[in-house]
Amino acid sequence: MQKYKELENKVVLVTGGTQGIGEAMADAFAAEGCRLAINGRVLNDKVEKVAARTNALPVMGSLAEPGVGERIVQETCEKYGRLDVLVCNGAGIDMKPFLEQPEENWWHQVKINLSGHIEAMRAALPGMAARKSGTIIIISSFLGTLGWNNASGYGASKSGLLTVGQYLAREYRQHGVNVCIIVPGVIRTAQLQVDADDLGVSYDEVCEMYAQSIPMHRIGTPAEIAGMAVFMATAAGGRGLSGRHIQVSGGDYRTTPYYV
Amino acid sequence: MTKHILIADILSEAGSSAAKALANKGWQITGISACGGEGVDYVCNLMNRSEVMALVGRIEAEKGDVFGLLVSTAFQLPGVPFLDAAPDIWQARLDAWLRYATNICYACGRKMVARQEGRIMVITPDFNRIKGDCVVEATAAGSLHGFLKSFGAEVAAARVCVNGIYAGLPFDFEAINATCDYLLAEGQYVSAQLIALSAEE
Repeated sequence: MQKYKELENKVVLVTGGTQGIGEAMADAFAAEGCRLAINGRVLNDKVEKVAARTNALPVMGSLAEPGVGERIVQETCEKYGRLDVLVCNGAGIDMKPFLEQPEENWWHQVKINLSGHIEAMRAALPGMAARKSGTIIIISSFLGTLGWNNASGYGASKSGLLTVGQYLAREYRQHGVNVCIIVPGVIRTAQLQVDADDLGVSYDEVCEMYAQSIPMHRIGTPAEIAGMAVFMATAAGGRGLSGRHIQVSGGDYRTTPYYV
Repeated sequence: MTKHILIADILSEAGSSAAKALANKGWQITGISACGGEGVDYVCNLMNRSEVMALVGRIEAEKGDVFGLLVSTAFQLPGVPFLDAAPDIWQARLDAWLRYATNICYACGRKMVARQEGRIMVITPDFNRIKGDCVVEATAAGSLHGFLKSFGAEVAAARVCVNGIYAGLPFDFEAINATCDYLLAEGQYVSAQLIALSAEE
């Protein structure tokens, strides 16, 4: 159901838009009447179903590969004539203690989560600045704001994303571009299986375990993150939240933000 | 017995300032850098983890176990504007901050964990008050925050305290040096934190 008429026909690219939080973003923006592009690593049945359901253009490739970040923005612009909203959501995680993790595996997460998105942002910003309009929405993580056992590479990439969001917001405010950051709490996605495996428990057990320590006593849903992203894409939401981060976490991870 | 502190990069402004201040406080200082200069005891390619590990082994054999590690990067201001930072330029800045720090933290950290004792401090600047496009430099430095907090959480039980010193620019060197001395001498319960320090007024 459309909530924000102003978003109708806006062009939105969602990285990692083929599952989990990204898939929910694709559905949410499609419901607003947006024109969509979704990025994932491999074009398969699942991706095609999401694309068909949301009428999205699949722009495929691994953000870890140089050139992909730029290409997916270009393909989106070629199809739709412009890009209004870039959602930097795609992520990879490989949990291991820093001192035990092979260097290549550690850096692979940084390549996908941080460097790949930096490339996409660089490709998107000139067009947005020229039109004096645009929004970049970054999905960071409390693993980046707080740090987490066995997640130093993921944490590094997500704190880098928080920083680039803050400083790009400062630089591009004068060009009418908003850059907003979401720090999700624990969200019910397939990625929790990585946590479950790391802890040696089942998926349902890890969900229940996390829920107990969250004030709201439940973990979040991908749609709840998508709802925040849609709000950030609006004029008022983007203007108010540009350069800021919001923790969508059911009351968990309460930090006091200090901003540039 | 005088405790041994390793400083990398000792040629950076913060590194050289800390070296003098900490030596005056009685710490034994060893300085490393990618090239020779004042205070440099060992030269090493800090981008190569294997070389860094070999160097730390040599330093400990020749000068004694490293109790404390202070990491400080020589940074670029003004930095490359964000839109000019092609992937290889971005990677070079990320390497200068994150690869460099993670390599020396790895090399020293594993030995500290084995000995169940150590202090690691990484200076990461707060570019808040710097005018102009410092997106690239700030982002590369900002990637250290999540790494330091995670690594700090992992090794705290081994009594290895890992902290970031998030110092405002321009640096208040006296405050930074005093904070390092405190963390080395007394900070056994301060770990996995990003310690924000004000810039010099």
